[in-house]
Amino acid sequence: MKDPMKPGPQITFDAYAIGYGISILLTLSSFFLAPEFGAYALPAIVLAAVVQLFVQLVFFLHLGRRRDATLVLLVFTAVIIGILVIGTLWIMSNLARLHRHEITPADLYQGGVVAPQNELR
Amino acid sequence: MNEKNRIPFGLWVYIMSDCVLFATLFAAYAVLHTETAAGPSGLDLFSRSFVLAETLILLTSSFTCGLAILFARRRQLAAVWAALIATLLLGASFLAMELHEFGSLIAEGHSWRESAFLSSFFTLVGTHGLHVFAGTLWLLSLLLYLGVRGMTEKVADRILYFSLFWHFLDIVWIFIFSFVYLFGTL
Repeated sequence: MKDPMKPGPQITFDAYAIGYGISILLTLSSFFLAPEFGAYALPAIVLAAVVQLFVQLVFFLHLGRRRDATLVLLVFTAVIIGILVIGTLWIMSNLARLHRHEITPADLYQGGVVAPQNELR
Repeated sequence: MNEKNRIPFGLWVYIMSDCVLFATLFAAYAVLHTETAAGPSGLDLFSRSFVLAETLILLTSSFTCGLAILFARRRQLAAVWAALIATLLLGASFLAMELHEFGSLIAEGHSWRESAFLSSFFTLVGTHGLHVFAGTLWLLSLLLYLGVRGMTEKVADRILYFSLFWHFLDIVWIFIFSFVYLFGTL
């Protein structure tokens, strides 16, 4: 069944069937169950999405049964994406906070220097 | 790393770079989705049942794609044809639905020009759709190759490589339907 010279993990029908079934359940629960959770609807959807991500990685892409560099690549990419997304949200929320109130040069300077209340903290 | 492993490795590196691309588009959407320029928001424009249908169609195409690899390993030519054609039809259906959604939005005047929300929406979801379109072209060429050369080891490998890309597209869609459509209609 499994040729040691051939690259790639062992592939079975069961893996795809189970992965497909669980993915459908998670999808349906995101669409129908999660909205009923009120304040917890959003976290529930996020949780279902992350779980379905791993289900598809394991059952469709055979992660965990691979002997290649896939896992390393995935983890590295996750780190890059983490920096990117968290950094973006941090920077943009910072900008939103700092630019909330219009400030003219007349407000900013008093007597030729930046007024103390406008010093950046 | 032996000869055979170089191709899947290279493909994985490409797919990972594509993930980073999508992450930037998601980040942009996260920042901009509230800027509706006094126009409609997701709540006004998105249809949950429509997106559910799209989601199940794409998910099923990912499943049939996996089956294609299985049958290819077993050299079952007719089954490979069936699985790949099912994948193609489902993928094409998904694209048709998405084009319909985009088309009706634009026809109602809600194009990417209306607001930053819509700009980032069309860019994110449109880029994913473009990837699906490219995937269907890839699949078509695979089917052509299969028809001409028959069920060989080379074809089996190529079906595997295609499936990596196709599975990845469904994974990206998980986050699109969750963060764009579901978050947007709650």
